[in-house]
Amino acid sequence: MGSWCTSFPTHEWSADDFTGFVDYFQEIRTSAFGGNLDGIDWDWEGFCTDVCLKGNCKCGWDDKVCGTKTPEELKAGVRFTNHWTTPGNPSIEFECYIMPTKETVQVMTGVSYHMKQAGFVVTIAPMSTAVYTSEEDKSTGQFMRNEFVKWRKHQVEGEERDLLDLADSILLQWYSGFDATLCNNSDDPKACACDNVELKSYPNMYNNTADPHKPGTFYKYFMEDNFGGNMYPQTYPMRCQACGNNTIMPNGTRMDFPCYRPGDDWFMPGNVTKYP
Amino acid sequence: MHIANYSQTYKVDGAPGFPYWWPTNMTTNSKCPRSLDCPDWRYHKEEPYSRQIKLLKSLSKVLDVNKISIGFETLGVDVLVQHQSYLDKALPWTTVTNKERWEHQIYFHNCTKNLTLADPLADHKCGQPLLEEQWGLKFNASEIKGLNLAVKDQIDGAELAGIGTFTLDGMMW
Repeated sequence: MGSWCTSFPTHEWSADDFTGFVDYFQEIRTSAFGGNLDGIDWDWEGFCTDVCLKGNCKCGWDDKVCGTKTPEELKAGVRFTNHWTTPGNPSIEFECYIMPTKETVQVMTGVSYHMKQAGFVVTIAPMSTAVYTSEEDKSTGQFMRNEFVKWRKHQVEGEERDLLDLADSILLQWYSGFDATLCNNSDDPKACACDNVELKSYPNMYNNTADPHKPGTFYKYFMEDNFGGNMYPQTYPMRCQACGNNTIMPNGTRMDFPCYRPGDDWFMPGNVTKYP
Repeated sequence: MHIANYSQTYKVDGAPGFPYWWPTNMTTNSKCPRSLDCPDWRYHKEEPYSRQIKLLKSLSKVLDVNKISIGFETLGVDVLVQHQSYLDKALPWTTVTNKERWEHQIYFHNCTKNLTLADPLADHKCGQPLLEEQWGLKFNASEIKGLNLAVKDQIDGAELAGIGTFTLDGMMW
């Protein structure tokens, strides 16, 4: 059950919807898959509305705009415009990703219950930000996500059902490239402090100039100012370490931590003839 | 012009060095391994697996730890591919043609020609496209075994259900 390139429900389903889902699953299991489907795997992470997916705007995330919105506000659709700094480039409108809501997890719980009743397997592969603690979210706007834990219990067929009880297995995606602004919203100064024991072959900060006599081969495809290309930085924060203004450092303090060594940020996306 | 200036400024042994560049205003967020929701194996001045156990112990109050498996990215991070720049030296692209991409699903060629200090502004350059795409803790069999033992020891005899990996071609071939 995918999400990023499609969508998922943000309104509750009825009993008829659940049985309809199981009927449809059984139909395509037989007609299209020769009876070889064991069940379903929930991979619902985030999406933005159909309009945005069709190209009128783009899905995006801005910590200041999206990270301070409640799940209900995100569900209603939050737009922001990025005013580019490069001359000649147009402004682009984005919509914040919509994360699973309470209603989304009601659908997951109901479908999981009915699928289990019909004898099928149900697994979940949550993004790391969706399942990470049993502690209550005390933030004012429920900004700490953890959606599948927070909203795991729902009334289905007259009884309380627990999504995490129903699932046969849960694979924690300990490989998210997205923090859903948890780092900014957490009270714990160590929540995103990159103070792990680094392996030599797996550094937090990759050094592309380790051998000055050989060119570094690390590169990253970037999209900035509505323009994409490959960048070859001297160094790059590969994993837990962020960079930019007000960045959490390994000791838990915050400071401005430039992403580049002085002189490296010369590349301005755009037309090479106009801006050589 | 900028790229030539850069090469002239950051010299190696007195001669023009290799060019590096970062897009103006671009910043980077935090990725896994992240202490809060996808902790690494080890942290300074802490017992091995300490933050992973803290996370799993917390989750054990709301779900059965025996059902949990840990997901890893295991990409071919060391794969070297060929890039080539054209009018704009700061925009290297794959050397694959549209015909190769659309008809044969080839997206990169192996790298055979990299920059040299003799010509640091040449068109051809090697790149590692997957290096930046792998987030999370490094896949390591002995650490997985160690975490399992720590779970058994510290979370009421529980055992993790296993692991999941994306993809196989970076770890088995």
